[in-house]
Amino acid sequence: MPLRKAQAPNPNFIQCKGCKKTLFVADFEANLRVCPNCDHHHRLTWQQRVEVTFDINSFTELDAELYSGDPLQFPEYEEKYLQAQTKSGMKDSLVNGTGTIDGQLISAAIADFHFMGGSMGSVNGEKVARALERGVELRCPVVIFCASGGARMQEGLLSLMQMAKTTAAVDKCRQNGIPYIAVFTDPTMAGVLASYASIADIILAEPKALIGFAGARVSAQAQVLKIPDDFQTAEFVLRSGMLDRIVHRKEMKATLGNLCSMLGHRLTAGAKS
Amino acid sequence: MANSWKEWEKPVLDLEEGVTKLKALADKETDAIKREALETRIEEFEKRIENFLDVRYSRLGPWEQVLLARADPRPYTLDYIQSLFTDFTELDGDRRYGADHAIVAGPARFNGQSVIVVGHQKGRNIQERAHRNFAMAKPEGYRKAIRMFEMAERFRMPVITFIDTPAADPGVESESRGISEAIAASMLKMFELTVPIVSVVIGEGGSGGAIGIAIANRVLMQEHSVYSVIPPKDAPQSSGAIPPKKPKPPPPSNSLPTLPSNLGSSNKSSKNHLGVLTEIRLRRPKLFVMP
Repeated sequence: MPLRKAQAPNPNFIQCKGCKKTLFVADFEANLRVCPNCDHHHRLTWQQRVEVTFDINSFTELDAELYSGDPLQFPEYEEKYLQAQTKSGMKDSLVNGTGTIDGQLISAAIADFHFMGGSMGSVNGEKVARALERGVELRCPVVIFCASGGARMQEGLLSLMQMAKTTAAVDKCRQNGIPYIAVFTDPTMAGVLASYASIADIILAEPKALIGFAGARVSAQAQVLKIPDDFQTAEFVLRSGMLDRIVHRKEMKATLGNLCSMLGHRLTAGAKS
Repeated sequence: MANSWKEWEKPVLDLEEGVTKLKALADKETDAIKREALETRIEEFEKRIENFLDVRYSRLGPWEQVLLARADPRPYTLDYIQSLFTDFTELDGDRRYGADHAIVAGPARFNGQSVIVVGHQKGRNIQERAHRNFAMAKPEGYRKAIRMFEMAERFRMPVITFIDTPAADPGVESESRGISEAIAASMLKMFELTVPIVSVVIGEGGSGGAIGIAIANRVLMQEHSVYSVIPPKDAPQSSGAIPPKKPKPPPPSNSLPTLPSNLGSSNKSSKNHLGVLTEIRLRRPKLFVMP
């Protein structure tokens, strides 16, 4: 017989995933879901990301109607996919659109790890490619927030081909002088990291984000030596020279706005406010 | 589940041995009638081999396709180079960090035309395999490939790549030197090339490691090769078919749970190729054996 009602989670409090300290939800939200105690950056849904990054009410979602088929008839894929859709209210693991940062037009894509681990299937890849191409079309900088476990297994080879497609879209940006900035959030892995994410003009990351090519367990199997403690964290990747900068969530908006306006100084559309 | 393609090739090898013996006998036989009888037997045997192979190879399951794709009598990149190209001159080094022997590369002549060849190279014995790192290239390998692609563009040489890798190297060293960046940059470079590129999957086309040098105008696959988003053993884990937190002795090579039935294997009966491939090149399994 349940006597202690207090065991039910109290909606006013939340436990930090880093230091396990109990936090006021209001404080936590005001601090952009970063723990005030240990500075742990918690994962954001795409709506939360939009809120902390773009000017108020400036973001418009595009290509919202795209959803994936089940080309391989992969066991249980359809159920899992529908389940993820109902749970998240998204059609697939990534949202793209346009918004402004400090009044500057940006074409953006935002991956959401909560939808099937942010995995890159045909739709995710297509939306990334369209976000990049939209930058070329509108002549504005492109910003992509990565959060993904990698390619979506359930779409097999087609997921692998998204690596090629998104890379081709990055190439288009380069040829047209469109700046492209990638932000690695926790986690940015495998197929995503090995394609459009790693070839951005500028790569930023949130502190402690998990960033890597193979899962740590796979690497451990392949490795005789001990794996470094901070293996595959943003700090490790920065030290390895594969990252430009680690940016605190509070400074992300300002940093992005600055970089976009400096790199995009010749673009006409970006100037309007 | 089979451990090796040899299991189902064994009866064929036995039969073939029989045929060779019979042929030797027939050659020695002086009596014309007896020789004719022997020759009929030989023909009969050969037909049986043919039939057996036809039937067996039209019914391969996905795991058997993987075993075939990894079969070690298959020609590897250097074998193809030796038999298709002349004047191949291997070049090494990424001019940045080091040499990688999982990818071989260099200029060669194909029908007299100057080309750049790049391909994964496997080994046939332990020493060779260790030397080639099981065809799992590190960042240096892809950066060497990029160097070659740049050269191809500069000197207007078409590019031919051979794909045969289980995956890119996943070790700590590779991570710290940016394996992901190297693969992505290599793909990007291939998109930039204006010279024609042909890629052939000659064995295993394993995930990022494969596509890193497989951006091409034409992508071909040998029959009984595979091209997949992930090495088969990792797939059940990544798709959630195996719960990740079990205590984990590495699974024995024959315990492969629920392999998705369409991992991207190629045989001529595969109904769809998902629009990814240009063509599947047919090759009788018997012709595995090198010239």
